[in-house]
Amino acid sequence: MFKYLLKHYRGYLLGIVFLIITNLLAAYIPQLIKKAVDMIEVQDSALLEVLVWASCLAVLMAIMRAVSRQIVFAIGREIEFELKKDIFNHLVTLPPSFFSENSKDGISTQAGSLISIITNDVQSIRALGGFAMLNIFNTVIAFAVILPLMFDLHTELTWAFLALIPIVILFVISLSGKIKDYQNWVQEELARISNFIEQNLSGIHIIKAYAQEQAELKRFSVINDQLKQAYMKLIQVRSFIGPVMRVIASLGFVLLLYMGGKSIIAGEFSAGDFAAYALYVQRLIWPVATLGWLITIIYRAQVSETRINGILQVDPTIKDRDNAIEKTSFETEIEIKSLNTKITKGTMVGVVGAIGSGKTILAHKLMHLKELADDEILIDGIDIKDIQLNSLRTLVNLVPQTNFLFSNSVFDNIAYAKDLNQNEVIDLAKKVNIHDEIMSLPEGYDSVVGERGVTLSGGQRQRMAIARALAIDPEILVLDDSLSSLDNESSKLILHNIIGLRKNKTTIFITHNESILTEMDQLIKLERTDD
Amino acid sequence: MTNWDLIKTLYPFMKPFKWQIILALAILPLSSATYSIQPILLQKAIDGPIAAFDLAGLWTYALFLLGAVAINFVLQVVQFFIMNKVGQAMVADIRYSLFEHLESMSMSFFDRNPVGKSVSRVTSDMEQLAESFVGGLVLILLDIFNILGILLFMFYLNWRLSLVVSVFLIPIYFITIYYQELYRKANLMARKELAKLNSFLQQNIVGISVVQVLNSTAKSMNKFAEYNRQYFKANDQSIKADAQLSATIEMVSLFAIIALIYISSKIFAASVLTIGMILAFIQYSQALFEPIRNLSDRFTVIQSAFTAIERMRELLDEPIGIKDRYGEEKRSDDAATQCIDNDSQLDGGALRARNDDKLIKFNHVCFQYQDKTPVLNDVSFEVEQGQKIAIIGKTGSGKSTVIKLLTRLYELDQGSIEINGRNIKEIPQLELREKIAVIHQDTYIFAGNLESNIKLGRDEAKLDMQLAKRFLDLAPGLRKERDLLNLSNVSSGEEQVINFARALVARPDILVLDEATAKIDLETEKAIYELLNEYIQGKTLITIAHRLETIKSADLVLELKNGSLLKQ
Repeated sequence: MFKYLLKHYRGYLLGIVFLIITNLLAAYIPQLIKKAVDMIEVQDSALLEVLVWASCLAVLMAIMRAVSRQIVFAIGREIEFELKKDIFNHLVTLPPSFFSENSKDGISTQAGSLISIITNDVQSIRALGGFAMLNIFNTVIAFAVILPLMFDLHTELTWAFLALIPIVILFVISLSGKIKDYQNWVQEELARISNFIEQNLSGIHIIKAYAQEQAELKRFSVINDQLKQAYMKLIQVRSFIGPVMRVIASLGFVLLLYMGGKSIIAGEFSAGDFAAYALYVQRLIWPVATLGWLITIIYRAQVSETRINGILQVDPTIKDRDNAIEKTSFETEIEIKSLNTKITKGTMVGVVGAIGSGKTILAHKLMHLKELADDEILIDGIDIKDIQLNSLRTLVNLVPQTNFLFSNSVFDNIAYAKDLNQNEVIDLAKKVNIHDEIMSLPEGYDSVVGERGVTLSGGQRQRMAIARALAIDPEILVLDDSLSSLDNESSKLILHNIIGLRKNKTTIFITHNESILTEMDQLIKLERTDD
Repeated sequence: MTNWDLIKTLYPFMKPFKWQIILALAILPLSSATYSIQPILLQKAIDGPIAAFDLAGLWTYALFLLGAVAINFVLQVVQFFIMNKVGQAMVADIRYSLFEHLESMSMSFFDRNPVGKSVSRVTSDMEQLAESFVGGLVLILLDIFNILGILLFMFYLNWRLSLVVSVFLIPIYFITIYYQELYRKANLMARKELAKLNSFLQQNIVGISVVQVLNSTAKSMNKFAEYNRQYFKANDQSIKADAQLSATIEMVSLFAIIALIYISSKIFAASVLTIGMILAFIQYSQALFEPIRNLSDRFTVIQSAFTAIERMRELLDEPIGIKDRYGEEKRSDDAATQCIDNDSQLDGGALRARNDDKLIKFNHVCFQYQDKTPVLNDVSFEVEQGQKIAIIGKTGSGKSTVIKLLTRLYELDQGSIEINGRNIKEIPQLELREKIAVIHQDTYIFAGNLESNIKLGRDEAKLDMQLAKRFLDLAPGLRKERDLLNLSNVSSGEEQVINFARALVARPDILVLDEATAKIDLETEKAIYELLNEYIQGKTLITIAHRLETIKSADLVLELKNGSLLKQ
């Protein structure tokens, strides 16, 4: 994570410069105040001058303070921006298997957890890069500037004041282990509860169908309780931090009163000195008080860092080889060595097989979405693992079983992977026999579908997904059970349209539907390998 | 809705913690008093023992000050502890209520509301509420008490100087209001951008395989960068407002001290003003502006609490779509127990037909989904106990909707549906859905092992695990999944087999198959039907299918076209 902070060293340096100016002014103004207070007793006429001067400096200090905060907070935001970008860009290159497993190296890979990492965990890194960094700099600079002045005013008192600081540090360190553990626990419980709700709501149709709401409520109640327990533990420790930080500052005043008072009695300290010293102590209250916050922010950031790195370090097992070639055309045949089969360019191929025989896996292998052995599948004699992913996936495309639609308009969903004009989209919709149904939607092609949109039936979603893939018009198209939700009549109609569209191109149908299989040029039967 | 109304929304959730809250509130004035008395002790010490060179007297005051500091510390710890505990306990209760309410929503709610939105209502919004409830509401009260305490002691000390300091409260007030408004607007904008970013994120993670299959990762990356950039930019304004506000308030508090010194110098000679008083006032002016400055921070915090409460209320106000009728529910419960008792004597759990009522009766049923596309139009039919029914029709003709209405996943608009002469609205949902099992083509596999996916929280004593196992055996691929803690790599065909096991394990009286074998190969499908035929003897089977054989063997064929029944 240091990498992200270090990258902004220039911005931080600039922020530090402004902070130094701010703190120098903050140290100088009490000197003026001290002068002024001492002038009151002797009724000096230059008092007004001193006060005007102090006011001007106060304005300047406010400007410097605002600028320094803006600079450093903005860096925090920039780090957030970069992290989000990097994590997202990394996630989309990971193979589908990563997302279908429930966890990887102890990190949950369910959608809920991943989203929580990109939002919550990145946020705690942002707090580190912005708020925490600003306050670390400010604390160090404030001490560096103000301490010498305090020593100058009263050496013993300042030593006594400084002696309080290790108490803070020791106290925070003694709690830090627990805070870290409990923080971790809370994060885990939070992830658990979001995953539970996410799953519950995604499978709500099943829960409703079996009237399992009460059972789910019971399970929720247990998880909810665990989250509460984790929080209670964290609270027990955290409740001390704020008051302890504040009490240190107040103790500073007790010291000032006693030791400063004694010095005044001894005639070594003026009322002005006392006032200035009080202002300095006040100046240092915030830096000391934030120490506790800083430590919790840093710990939280550490926990988040582990989680973020866990994602960033997952190796995208499927990536371009160093010598991967670009392949833009499909000339002769696909050879699937593990099945001892060849598929010739321009044919229609049916794939059948019992459940669990690996039909979908074959489809994923053809697009290199799943790992495969060397030379397992060759296109025009070239191992597909030697082909750049981008060009392979342009060449081969798939209509997957999950007819996921994006929360966009119908139009944007069909033209998702390729920019199409209106006529082209309508044409495709007609080919998959969905145009009339789209027109009957409230806003036609502009109707929003997907999670946030109108409800489409399984068959409608299937046809949208087919249209979306046909738009790409790849050399090799695999349809994974893509007509299963359709009645015979429409599935036949669409099949014929697809056959018409895909003359001279290669189309592979994974299906059990005999009326589709009879139209195929070639059949591949997969056997289940019981391992 | 005013903020006060929103706070009142929390009232029922606060009630169980009434005493803790009262205790914490009772501590407030005490902790303020021990805090705001500190400068007075300082003044008394300076003008008293110090001025009189009385070292022993100084000791006493130093001890008093130390005592005030110590008591204040203890009170604060207790207060934070209580309020944080109450905050989290309360939020845990609210989370439960929200989830309970979500579970009671009808399917039409889930059609309208994306999963991600509901998840964040129960999780991140509640996080926000817990944090801001304590960091906002409680600390605001603490600040207000501190301000009052300080003003009180200040005026007690010297009203003229108090007036000078108090004058500065006016600019502080307006500055705070100004920046608050600025910040609120900026924050709102940033939140909107964040919502867009998160919704895009959610979709792309959930639909990642589609993004990759469509070779659109580059496109997604660009789009994400765009949303991300917009969110980043939207934050600029709020950062500015925040930075300027805190710097300005620091400046005004310095002005106050400067003015204080100037006025003091003017009245010093004429009045009884002492040096100790001036010092106390410098302390007070700092101490007074600190809580005011905090207040502005707290108000931004509490703004997010209000947002969370508003959203919570929005969800809780969502009417429960399908309710078991109160009173009638009781009656039907009684009827249910009666029914089961009689059944067990008569024919072992099968639904007994009362009088000569048909098993299922659709009377002029009309229905449309939220988006107003009519789906069913005046559909009427009757099914007798033990019949095999086939429902056919083109995609989108409303076949699945008939089933969803039968199991009351949606409430119908017009007409009625009866089972054994009882309107389904009068049958408790649990009872209704135990009687009718629907096997859809779409299913969902929950995290957990195979067994928990079959049982789904149901009472094991009522389940026929043997029957379920016979179905599962039809998918040999599931064998290696049997011992796994979490199911993974289940193919869509295997999912459908699990679906059968899930439905039949509870031995339902009416079984509905909605394209239930669409993803299963012919051989396995045949084996499933053989098992099914063995089970279904004497029970009622409704099949939605395109396949000819199912239609041929049906006692009754219902054909739907554009939501109307064609022939029987």
